[in-house]
Amino acid sequence: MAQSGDTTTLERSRSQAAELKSASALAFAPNGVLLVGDSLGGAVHAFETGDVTSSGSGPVQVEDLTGKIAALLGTTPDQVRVPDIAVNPASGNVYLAVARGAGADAEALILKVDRSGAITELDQDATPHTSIALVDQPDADKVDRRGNALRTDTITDLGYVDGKVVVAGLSNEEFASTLRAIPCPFSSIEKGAAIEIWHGAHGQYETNAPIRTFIPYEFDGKPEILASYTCTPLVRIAVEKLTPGAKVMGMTIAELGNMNRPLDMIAYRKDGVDHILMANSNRGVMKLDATDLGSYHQITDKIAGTKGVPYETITALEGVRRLDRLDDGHALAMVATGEALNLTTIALP
Amino acid sequence: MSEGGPRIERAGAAFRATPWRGAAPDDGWAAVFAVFASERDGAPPLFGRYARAGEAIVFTPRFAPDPALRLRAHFRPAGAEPVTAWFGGVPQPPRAPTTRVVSLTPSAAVWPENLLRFYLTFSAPMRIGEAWSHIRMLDAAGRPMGGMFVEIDQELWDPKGQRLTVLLDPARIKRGLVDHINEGPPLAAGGRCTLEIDAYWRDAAGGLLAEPFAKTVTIGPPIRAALDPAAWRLTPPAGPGEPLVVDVPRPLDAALATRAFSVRRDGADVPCQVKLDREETRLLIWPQTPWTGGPHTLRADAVLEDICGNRIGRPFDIDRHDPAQGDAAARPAEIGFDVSNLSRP
Repeated sequence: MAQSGDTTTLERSRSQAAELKSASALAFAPNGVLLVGDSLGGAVHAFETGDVTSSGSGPVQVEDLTGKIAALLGTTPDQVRVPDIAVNPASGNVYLAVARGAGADAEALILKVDRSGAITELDQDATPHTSIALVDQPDADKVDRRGNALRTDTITDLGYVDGKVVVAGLSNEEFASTLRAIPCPFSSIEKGAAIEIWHGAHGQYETNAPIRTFIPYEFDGKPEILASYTCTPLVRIAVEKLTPGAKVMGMTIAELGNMNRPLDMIAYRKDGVDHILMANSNRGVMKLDATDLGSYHQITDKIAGTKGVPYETITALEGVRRLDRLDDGHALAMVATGEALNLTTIALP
Repeated sequence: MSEGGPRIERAGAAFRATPWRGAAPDDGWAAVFAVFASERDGAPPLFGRYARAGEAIVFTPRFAPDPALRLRAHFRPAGAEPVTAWFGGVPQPPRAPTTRVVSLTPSAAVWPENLLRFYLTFSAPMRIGEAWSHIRMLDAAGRPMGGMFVEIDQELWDPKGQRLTVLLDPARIKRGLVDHINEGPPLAAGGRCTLEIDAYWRDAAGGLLAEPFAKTVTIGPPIRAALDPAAWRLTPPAGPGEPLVVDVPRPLDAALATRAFSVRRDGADVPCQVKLDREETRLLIWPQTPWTGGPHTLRADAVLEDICGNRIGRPFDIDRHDPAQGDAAARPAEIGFDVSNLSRP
């Protein structure tokens, strides 16, 4: 296995400032290109950070993250939210999506944390970028025409997969998937039309299935995404199927126990063995054995427990809200400890 | 600038430290002049930009600091003792709580056990990021029923932050899934439960809610059939300024119903406003300008859902073993109605 990633350079667009209305989800494309999912703005922005020089190999450790950000931004910690983190694989620096303010009108900004823990702001206006508006659902245009703008598509995750930016969304109204696969670099012609993602429950029931989090993953040299729905833990979806207007059925390859939803995932290889590390809503951090992941077939039986890809729970890791891979041997985690939020480096188990 | 010892002043949005006569320090202006908004351990100084104005170092914070914060400015002039000055720290008077829950839909007192979502609307924008600690469903004995909602960090708000969409866990609603089998649906038919919102949920301005909110509902049987427009009853407008009335046999999703319906006449859109009545089972479709006589078409978009996620022609979870459901696909619907006799007094 390998995480997808060929080389790309985005076309530069210096003509206008990125209008970041919110920063909901972050990911990196190759060459230090930061992808920012903007739920409120209905857009994805790609910033060419130029941050492509290794920043060192030490651990990243920031205690009281929201307290420190509040101090930088002249506010109180309760006015700071950090919806997502991403490690720039080209430099090892950490990027944070940050909201300054308590409500929906909060200011959105991107902060960078280097290996020493120093925090700086990405200058959105001075950083070359391209943006692409996400095409609304076919029926959603009526919202604006009637002045009834209550609908939003929350970007739950995004990632660079095989030359495309894949964006997963969840509407605050209709229950439908809004996955989009947008060729990168962005062109003004190719908009991200919605792809219907479906979930077949054990051979009998089918429903729409919004994706909550995913990672790029290669099976037999072919790019896929390994995703979790809002309703089920682990499915495979081939990237070649992600064409506008398609109806795509994910393939369930693991059930990981009751009442549990993955929050974030990373793939890694240790001692010659492939693993997936998964932060969960209710069941802590799980390490999945991804050996021969491609050999797991669609789970079609009705089952009452766990099935498919085997896993162990890493009990030492508690309160992990977000994960990304820091380097070959380490992950970066955003961890909630009581009221505090910390960034911490953990050895890959 | 008057002569004198080193000093720090606040000038509008900026802070000025004087005097600085030499070149810029090698390790940046922040090494000699910085403003701190926090005394917490290891707290860094404010983000901002530096400029020279004569003998002054001018620091303008990136964001106007919260007026309630006490700011400490620290200046280390060359060849003189460091200077510290304090600014701000104006306590904000406590705000009287005024924000409240103004609506909860579905508004009916009976919810089906496979209810997919509800909407909570507040009278003012709310603080985002803490919803899940303030929303509880209690069983008939008043015990919290956990594991019921899709607790996503981002929270599903409208663009103003006043209406929150709460999804009930689809893993417990969709038939055939582990959680549906093991835990059953979030709400069990025949039961009674109470949705409770505590008053400690702050609005975006920092105020508590004026009062807690509670609504007790009885749980009814699931609704698993597609929406069927043949069962809708249209009552044409009784006058040029009167609404078209559409009665539907089961509650529609309140958000989708207000935007999924449109009216056309002679192929052209007739601008209308949709209001919901009778616990979301009646639509009142008001024309923006008075109706003109003749045949009209009411159109419902394919996106329309009832409160359980069933669409026109497609139930929420399609049963592949049921031949009647086949390749069920959501579709729009069009129903004709005549506007006539409007000239009568």
